[in-house]
Amino acid sequence: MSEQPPLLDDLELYRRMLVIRRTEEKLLQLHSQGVLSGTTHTSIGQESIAVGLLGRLGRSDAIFSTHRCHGHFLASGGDLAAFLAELMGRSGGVCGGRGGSQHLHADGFISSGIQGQLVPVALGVAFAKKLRGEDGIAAVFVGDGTLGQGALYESMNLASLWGVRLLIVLEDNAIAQTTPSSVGVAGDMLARAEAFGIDAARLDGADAPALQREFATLVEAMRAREAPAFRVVRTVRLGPHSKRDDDRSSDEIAELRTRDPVTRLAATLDPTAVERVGNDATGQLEAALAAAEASPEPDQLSHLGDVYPPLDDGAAAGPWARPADEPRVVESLNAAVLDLLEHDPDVHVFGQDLLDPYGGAFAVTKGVSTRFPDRIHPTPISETAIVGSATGFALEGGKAIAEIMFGDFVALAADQLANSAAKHHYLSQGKATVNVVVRVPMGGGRGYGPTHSQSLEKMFFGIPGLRVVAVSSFTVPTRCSGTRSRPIPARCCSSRTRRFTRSAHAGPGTASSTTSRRGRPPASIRTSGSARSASTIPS
Amino acid sequence: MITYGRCATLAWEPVRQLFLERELAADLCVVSQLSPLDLDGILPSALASECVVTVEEAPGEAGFGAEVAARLAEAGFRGRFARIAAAASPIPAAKSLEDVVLPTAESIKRELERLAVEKGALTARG
Repeated sequence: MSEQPPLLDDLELYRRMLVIRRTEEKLLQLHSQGVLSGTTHTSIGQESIAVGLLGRLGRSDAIFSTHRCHGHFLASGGDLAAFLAELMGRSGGVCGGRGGSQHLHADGFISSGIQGQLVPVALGVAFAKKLRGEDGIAAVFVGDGTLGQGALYESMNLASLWGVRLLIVLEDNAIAQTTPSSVGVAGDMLARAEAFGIDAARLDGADAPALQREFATLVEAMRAREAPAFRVVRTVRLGPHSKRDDDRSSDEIAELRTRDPVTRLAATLDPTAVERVGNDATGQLEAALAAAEASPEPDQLSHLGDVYPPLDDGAAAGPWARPADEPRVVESLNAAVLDLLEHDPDVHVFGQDLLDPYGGAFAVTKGVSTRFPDRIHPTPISETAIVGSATGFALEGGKAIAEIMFGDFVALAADQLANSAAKHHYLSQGKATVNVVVRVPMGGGRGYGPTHSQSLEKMFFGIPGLRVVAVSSFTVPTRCSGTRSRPIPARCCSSRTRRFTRSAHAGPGTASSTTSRRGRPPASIRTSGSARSASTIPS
Repeated sequence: MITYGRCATLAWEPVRQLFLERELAADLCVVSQLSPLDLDGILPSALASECVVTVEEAPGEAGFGAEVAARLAEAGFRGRFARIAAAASPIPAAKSLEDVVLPTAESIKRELERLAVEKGALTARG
C-alpha cells in the first residue's frame, strides 16, 4: 500500500498556504501593472483544500485541476519558479509557455480551462491504475459551477460501476464566476454522488488542520478500498473570478474573510513564527520571480514540432492492400482488433454494447469479449466518458480503442477530442502521447435517417493534434501479426508511472515484466467502421 | 481579399497601407453568413481580380478559405489564390508564441507583398 506522508504540523500547513497566497496576490498585482498578459484565476481563500489534500497524496497518484489551478499545482510539489515562468510565457515554464495559467501539464498533474473536462480523463487514469493492480488515486478538482456539466455525471456513473479510486473534490465557494449557487445549482450536492452509490460527505475549508486530518482519513480509506469518493468542501473565493471582475459588495467579502483559512490558522500560531514564515515566503517568491524572469523567451517555431507525435514506419508504408479474398471492411476491422489484442497486451477496448454475442452495433468487436474478457470494457451511453476515460487510460501508458456506435454520436465527444485528447502531446512538450483510436462508423445508405447517417468527419478536419483516417474496401486494415515495427519507449502522462499491463489482477511485479513488449499499434488499426467511414485519432 | 470576423478588422490596415504605399488596390469582402456560404455577391469582384486571398483565424485545413477556393475553381477563376490562416497548432498562451500561430496585421501585409512580388506587381524590397 502506498505510504501516506506524515501529517504537516500547523506551522508547515500555514507556510504552504501562505506561499500560494503571496504568489497569487503577486499575480494579480503583476496583471494590474500590465507585466503579465493573458488570464489568471486565483484561489485566495481556498488554499486549505489544496494543501490539505495534496500533502496526503504521493507519486503513485495523479492530480487533475481546473482553471483555478495555481494552488493545486504548488501544493502538489510543483516548482514555483517554473510556474511563474509559465505565466510569463518563458521557455523555462511548466509547459514552455504553451499552456499559461489554466493549462499546466506536468509530471502527474494536468489542469484544463474547461469545466468538468478532466473528470472522465481522471476516471480513465484511475481505471488504468486499478487494472495495473496499484492503489494510486486519481484526484480531480471541480467547483460548484462544474455541477452544470454532464461530463461529471457520466464519470460518476462509470467510476461507481468500475469501482475505481477516483476522488472528486468539489471546492464549493458558492459562486461560479458571477453566478451564485442559488441560481446555478438545484437540489442537493451530495445527493448527486450518492445517487451513483458514491461515498459523499461535506468538509469545512475554513479549518486547515482539521481538513488535513479529514483528507488523511479519506486517503487511507481509499487505499484500502477500490471505490470512488466525493467530497464537497465549503470554502470562500476572496478574490475576483479572474482579474478585476468581482461585483460582490465589500460587506460580502468582509463576511467571507471571517472564513479565511490562512488568517484563522495564523491566529493560533506563535506570532514570532508567523512573522518568520511570512518573511521566508516573501524571500522564496522573490527568488522564484527572479529565476522566472531570467528564463528566456521560448523558440518561436520549435513548439510546432510537438503538435503530432511521429508515426512509426509502418503507418506510412501500409500494409494497405486490397486482399484477394476481399473480405467485407467490417470483417477486416474485426480481424484487426482481435489481432491487436492478441499481439499487444496494452490494448484495451471501450464502448457500448461490445460484448458477445452482440459484439458491437456493427460487430467489429465480435469475439473480443470471449477471447479477451479482461480487456474489453462495456460502457453506458456516455460518449464523453468513453473518449475521456480512453484518454486517461492512454496517458497512463495504455492503448485504447474507443468505439462510438454511430458517427453522428461523435459530436457528443467533441470536447474530449478537440479540446483535451488532441492537446496533451503539445502541452506536455511532446512527453505525453494519447494513444487512442476513436473508431467511428460514418455515413448513410441504410435508411437510418438524420441522426444515424451523417458524415461528420469534417467537424474534426484541421483540429491540430487530431488525425482523421478513413478506410475503404481498397484500404482495409489487414491483419496485424508481425507488422509492428520496432518497439518504442512508452510516453506516459507521468514518468513515475509503471508501464501498463493487461491483467486486471497483475501485481506491481508483473507490470514491469511486460515492458519490452510495448509498441505502437500498427497502421492497420488506425481505421474504422463501415464501408464509408472515418476515425479520429488524437495525438 | 475575402475574410470574416476579427480578421476583417486585422486585414483592413494592411490593405489600406498597400494601396497608399504601393498603389495596389484590393476589394475587402467581409462575409457574415459563413455556412451555407453564398458567394454570389463576391464572385464578380473575385473573378475580376488577378489574385484572391482569404484570411481566417482558424487553421487553414478544410476551412473557410478552402471552401472559397473550391467555389472559385467551380466558377472558373483562373487567377492566383492564397490562404492566410493560423498555423496547424493549438493556440499557445505565451504572447510570443501566439503571435506566430495566429494571423497578424504584419503577417497579412507580408503575405500580400509576397504575392504582389510573385505576380510582378511589385519588386522585392530588401
